[in-house]
Amino acid sequence: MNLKQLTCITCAQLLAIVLFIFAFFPRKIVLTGISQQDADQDRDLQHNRPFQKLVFVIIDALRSDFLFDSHISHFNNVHEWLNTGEAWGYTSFANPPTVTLPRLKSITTGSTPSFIDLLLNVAQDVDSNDLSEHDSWLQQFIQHNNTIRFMGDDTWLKLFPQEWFDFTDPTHSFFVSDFTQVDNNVTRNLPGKIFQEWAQWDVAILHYLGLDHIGHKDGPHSKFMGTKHQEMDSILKSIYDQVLVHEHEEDTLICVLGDHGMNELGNHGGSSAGETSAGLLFLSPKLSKFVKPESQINRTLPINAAPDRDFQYLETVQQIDIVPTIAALFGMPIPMNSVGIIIPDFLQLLPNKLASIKENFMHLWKLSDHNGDFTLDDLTIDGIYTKMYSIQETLTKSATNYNYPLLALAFISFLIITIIAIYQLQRNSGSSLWQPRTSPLSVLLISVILGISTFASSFIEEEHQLWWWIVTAFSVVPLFVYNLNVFVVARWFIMMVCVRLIKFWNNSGQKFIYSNVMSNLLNQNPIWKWWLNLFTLLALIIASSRFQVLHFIVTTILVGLCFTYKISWEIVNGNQAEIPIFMHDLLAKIDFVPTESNLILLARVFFQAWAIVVVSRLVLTKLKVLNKNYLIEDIKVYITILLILQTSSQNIGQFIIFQILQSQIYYFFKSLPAPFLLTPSSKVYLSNLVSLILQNFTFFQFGGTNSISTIDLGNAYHGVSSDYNMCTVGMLMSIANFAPSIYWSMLPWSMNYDSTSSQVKIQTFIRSKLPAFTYHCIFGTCLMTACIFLRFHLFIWSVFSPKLCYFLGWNFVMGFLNGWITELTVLFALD
Amino acid sequence: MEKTYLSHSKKTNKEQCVKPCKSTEVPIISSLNENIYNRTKKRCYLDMSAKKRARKTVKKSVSFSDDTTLTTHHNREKKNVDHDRPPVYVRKTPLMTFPYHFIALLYYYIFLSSNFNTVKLLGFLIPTQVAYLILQFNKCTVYGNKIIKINYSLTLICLGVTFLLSFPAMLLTILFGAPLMDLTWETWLLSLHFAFLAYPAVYSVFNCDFKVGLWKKYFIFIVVGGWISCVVIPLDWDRDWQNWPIPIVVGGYLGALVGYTIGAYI
Repeated sequence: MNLKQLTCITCAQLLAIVLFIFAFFPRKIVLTGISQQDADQDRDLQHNRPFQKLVFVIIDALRSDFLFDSHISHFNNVHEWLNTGEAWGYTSFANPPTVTLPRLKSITTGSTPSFIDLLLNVAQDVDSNDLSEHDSWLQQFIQHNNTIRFMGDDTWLKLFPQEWFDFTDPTHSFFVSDFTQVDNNVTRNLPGKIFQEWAQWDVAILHYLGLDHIGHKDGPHSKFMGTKHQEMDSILKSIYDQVLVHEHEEDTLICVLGDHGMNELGNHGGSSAGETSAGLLFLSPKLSKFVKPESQINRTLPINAAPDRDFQYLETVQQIDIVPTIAALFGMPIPMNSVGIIIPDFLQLLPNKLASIKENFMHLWKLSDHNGDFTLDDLTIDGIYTKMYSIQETLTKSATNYNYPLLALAFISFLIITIIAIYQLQRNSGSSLWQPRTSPLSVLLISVILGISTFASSFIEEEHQLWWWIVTAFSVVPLFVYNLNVFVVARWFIMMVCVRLIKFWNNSGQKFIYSNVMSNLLNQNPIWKWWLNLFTLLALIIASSRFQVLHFIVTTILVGLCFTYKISWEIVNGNQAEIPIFMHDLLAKIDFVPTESNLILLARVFFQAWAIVVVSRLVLTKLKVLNKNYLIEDIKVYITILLILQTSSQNIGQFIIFQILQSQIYYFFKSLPAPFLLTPSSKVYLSNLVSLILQNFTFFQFGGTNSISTIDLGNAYHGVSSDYNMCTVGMLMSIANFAPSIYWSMLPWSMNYDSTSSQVKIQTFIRSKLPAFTYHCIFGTCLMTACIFLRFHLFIWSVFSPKLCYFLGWNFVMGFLNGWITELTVLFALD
Repeated sequence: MEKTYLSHSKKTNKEQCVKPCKSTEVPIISSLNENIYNRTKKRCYLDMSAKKRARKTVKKSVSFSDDTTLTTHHNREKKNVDHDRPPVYVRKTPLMTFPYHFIALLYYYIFLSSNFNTVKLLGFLIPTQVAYLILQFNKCTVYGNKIIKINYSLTLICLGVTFLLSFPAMLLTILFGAPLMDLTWETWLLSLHFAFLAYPAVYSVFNCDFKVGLWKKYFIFIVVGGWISCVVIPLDWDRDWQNWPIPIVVGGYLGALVGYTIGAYI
């Protein structure tokens, strides 16, 4: 196999994956156009609309129990209103993916989101998010000449054009550690823009982010949660007081809801009960004149619920039901793509309830591809509701139409590539085709084990356990290969301790969450954390120094910039107290004032310095000005510094463990006893297999999982100002999330490329790509088979599809960008 | 391999004659032989079943390899014992070495005990392991060509040693992924189980001058059993038996079961 063939097959593999994903992720057919009624009917409905004003309050991640459960809720005013009947409460089911952007789309248009929306939530400035052409209740308000005012999360302004709003005050959710300022930015506008100018608006939208931030940082049982509940409650109280003042002029509806919930860690994105159960509350003095929802009669709130109630409080409704309910309550037609059903309790408020319910039914009837009219005259309201619920279920659940021919094409081409890969792996192992050797066999064995595991959703969720399992199996190999003496056993023990510490560093997966993990311990003792980080960086300088002045100076400068940036970032994010005092002094000494703009500047200086150092090192080596013996070592140090910059502060300490572990692995590879000496090709295979295992293992132990919710975005914006470029952020995000894997992908370099001629180097490169490539091929075949067979599985969108995206990430970022471009550049300079 | 052949009879222990069988070219210095013999004579006994036959066949030839390896020839029962084999080994009688009590203990643990009572299981394990050692395992362990009677004081010492062994076992369990700071008591229980599962092997190690290499396969089987059983932990079935350390305990038992049954063949 030559380089050209390998390039072709790698590209073909990437193409097949992209094709498969393209065919597998259904894109929903969105109806364009805006619902309209005939003019007379419209005027009539508008005239008789039950409410004149709407205050739409979204409290991000407001789980149902935050509103209703006596164990956790501090919404005391809300409980009172619920008991008097002024407020009607519901648990609303938020369709996964439970992240803000797809949820907002659902809440406003009434359609259920597709998995693609989840990806677009990460890539937020894609045009398809523009809802200005689509129908939504906001669109309907605009069509009916109502004035909308908006304050809160700027995601809304990505969805809706600025012109729709009479007043906007968007807040960034840039710094997740900010609990108070994001909410104060919303609340500060209430007296001036809402209360005083009461007559000048019809719809007010408020989106509070603080509660979500607390959840992300501290979880649902955080000590900040109580005060945040009280703050939100008092805001609702102040709005409601204003509503009461204006009660005689017009009727105002306050709608309070969470766009999604959160799990017990405070994260969201998946489909667990906590994440999909959001609170929903309608509040108006007018409601007390009508019959309360059945679930609220004879019950005083807050509810003292048993802990295993799955967050279902009061009546459960679909979150998309808000859309037709609001449309009906404000005398507007139901938005075009809405699959919601008017909440039955609100029928009594409507002037012509039968007409409204019929309109709702016909709307769903048409959406489900039925043509012609359906006679409803012989059905009671209950009968219509039963029919609507069944239509809604089919519309939300089976709204997926797969492109089967494309799917088959992608799968079969991937299968062919897999067979070629296995053949090449065996052929390049240095033995004849049918003579098995340990190294290709172990690659195949691991691939098959991991491949089979993709058929079980829990093994995908807990993939880190499988990798740990393989790591333990591999780590006992030295005990059988070496003649045991004190030194070998000591080194083995050090290796095990390193591996165990890495495992101890973070929680991964969904099932086992330990509070005693290193990252938590370090976050609780920030002074230690920063000492460890400083020590890690200093150790990097010392370990790489070889009494060569230029190299020493360069690394020191890079490390200095990196460390200054990391502590400044922490200070700007409001954690001044966590930084040891002498580090503050250090900053003061170099006259660096940590502000947001300075931070961006500093990061850019670092990136530029880094690029200059690396490029000049490569070019000067190529021109034979600098010694090429140390090129690989030096480049590894530079890349490690970059990776540390892109790593969260609690994980930086892992890099020192990595260094120790790496030296043990080098030792075990170098001093193999005679009967186990490796042929060159076996050595390339084995070193790359070890590298692959460690890449995956450390990826998960850095806190990564196979769920979209753990993608680290905190480190994706270093040196990026507000008018950012998608590619830059994407690249920084990839480095941040794959940082440990990039580190371990450099492990085999110095083992394989030292002291070989350039022709052999290319051959070695091809060989070194084969184990990971074969692994990805076999794993991918199994994953695709699993996705196809389990396409109606409950977890297909929450477990299998994210894994498919991660799989693309591994192949594209780790396999292609990192594995090819970085490594070939270094090889090129070595020649 | 250089071999010397030495025949002797049970009755006349000190009488020896050098009898080169095949390799006549090997000169034997009798004094050297004497030395080798004296060093190893304690173990140069015939085993119980072979005793009667030994009386009939007056001569027994014992081969010395470069170390103290002794093997009986002409003995039909041990004809499949090759010369490289160390003098201590377990007889290939899987029905005799089969640890029947493990089945009962596992049955008790899985079906009878309330909430998988790991402590009680340990309480049952220790006496049954001692009984297994005395009644089964030791009777199948051949030292040279002799089965040594159980040394009761050594069994007691080994109980203590096994208990102490649970601490390094715990260290290893943690290194191999047991929770580091949580569930320490459960992890220690697990290590105690592992240690006492290996109890017959520990006794044998002590009884044969610390030839750990001979017995390590029994330890390895237990570890491998525990290692494989980890697979069920990540599954989201939410069963009681998935709790730490229940699957590993069961896996360790199954590993030990397989190990004690087929260990002699490996």
